[in-house]
Amino acid sequence: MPLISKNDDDTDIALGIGVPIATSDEKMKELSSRLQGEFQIKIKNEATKEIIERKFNIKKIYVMPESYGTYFDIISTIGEENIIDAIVISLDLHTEIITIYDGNLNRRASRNLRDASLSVLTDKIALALEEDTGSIVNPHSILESIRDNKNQIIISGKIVNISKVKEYYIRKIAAEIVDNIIEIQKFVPLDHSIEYYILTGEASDLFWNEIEMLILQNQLIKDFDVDRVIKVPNPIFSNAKGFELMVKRKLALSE
Amino acid sequence: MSKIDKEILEKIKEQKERVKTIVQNMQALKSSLESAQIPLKDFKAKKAVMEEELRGILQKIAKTKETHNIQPTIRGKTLPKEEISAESKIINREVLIADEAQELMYYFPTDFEGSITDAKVYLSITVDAHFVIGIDYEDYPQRPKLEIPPSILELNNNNEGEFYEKIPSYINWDPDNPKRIFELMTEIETVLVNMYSADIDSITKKSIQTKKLGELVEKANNALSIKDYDKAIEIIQSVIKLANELGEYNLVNKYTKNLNDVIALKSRDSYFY
Repeated sequence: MPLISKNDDDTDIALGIGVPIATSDEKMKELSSRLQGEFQIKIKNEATKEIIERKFNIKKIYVMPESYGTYFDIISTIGEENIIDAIVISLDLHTEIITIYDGNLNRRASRNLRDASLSVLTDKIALALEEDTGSIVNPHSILESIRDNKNQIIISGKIVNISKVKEYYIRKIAAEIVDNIIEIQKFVPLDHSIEYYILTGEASDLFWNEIEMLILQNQLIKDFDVDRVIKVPNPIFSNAKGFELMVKRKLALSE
Repeated sequence: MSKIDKEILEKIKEQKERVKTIVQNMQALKSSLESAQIPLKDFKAKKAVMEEELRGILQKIAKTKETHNIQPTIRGKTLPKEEISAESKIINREVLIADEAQELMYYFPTDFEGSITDAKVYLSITVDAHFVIGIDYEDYPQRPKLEIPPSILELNNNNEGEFYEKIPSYINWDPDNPKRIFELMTEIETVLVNMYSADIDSITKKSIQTKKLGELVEKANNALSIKDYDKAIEIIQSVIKLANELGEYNLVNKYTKNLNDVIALKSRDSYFY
């Protein structure tokens, strides 16, 4: 989103916004209408003391489920005519599963998982550490270490190895995620089958191995082909790029 | 396609085949359980072994793809590689180094001298043993340069090599698969803990043995005072052995002489009686 573009002429902006899949259509419309219009921003660069002032007009807003960006990025790289039936598993603080077939999002076959996510993993590890060390462990203080897939963290000045407890809960949470994937496939029409599973999100480094194994074990992919489980290498970038491409495409179609 | 590329793809293909076989074996195992051919306990044990192998192979495939920059393929079309410019390479390297420095600071009290690649790490091994280890990782992932305090080298015959021999990941440093700097420092810390706790152990052992030596000397004197020469000889022999173990050679000489005297006394007394 080029809000602070170097080009002063960039005043008319089309915005792509990602929201959780559980967001209702009404809320999405409300968000879209509220953000449209003229805005003025003033930003000071603390390092250079440079002040940037911009006036811009948000002319169009496209609100989509967040993980759709990654799907669109992948589709656009292989040619948009190659629409694939896929499930995107977005593993962030909260896990989101979206199902797309014929290029359309199926809301019934998509869901947010509150009980199987990075935040749940962090809470569980914090509780286990509290029992082990006797110290109070704030899940937020260990979140970054867990997200970075570290095996050692510092509690009350001591280095504690969390590899075992982390592995234990990753397996539990991954099993819950795959159970949900199996469940939502009931809402996929019989004449469609999921070709690809796309793993994205900041916590994909933690969960991918277990999820891929369970997908294979539950025969969710054709011919047990591991290439049908795609781990997105740079999730944040991929999602942002996908949104940009999607908005550009929608603008081109509307013109 | 080069010969190496072909070999890599062939290797991945073999691994994929193995994945297929394991999953099929898992299905067969499940069928065996459902038809009551194997007990649940056996099923669980076998399944756990298969799962572990499957995890390992999937990790290997991912690692090979990552190492050789093999992009995912969708319907026969390969996703494009991210172009890495020269500028990006410099930025990536800076990020890598900054990450190492940040991790090091997270795990150890650390000072930097001039650059974030030239660190002084403070290690407290025992209540009295504190060290500052210098580490320069400017060329990371090449092997970093260590600066070991003389007090540590003294315990290693003033030989840096002898100390480094105790740190396997430093001696066998692999730039293609480098250890994190904080991991190397943790290993050094462990080596020092072992060295210094071993020293404490030997001091403790020596103190116990010295106490025991004192007790034996007292017992020998008591035996002599009641003219129990056999017991005195036996105890003095133990004193000599223990003094020898402790390196107290003056005591060894002294009690060897005493032993001869006691043997002589014993012979004289037996002559009179």
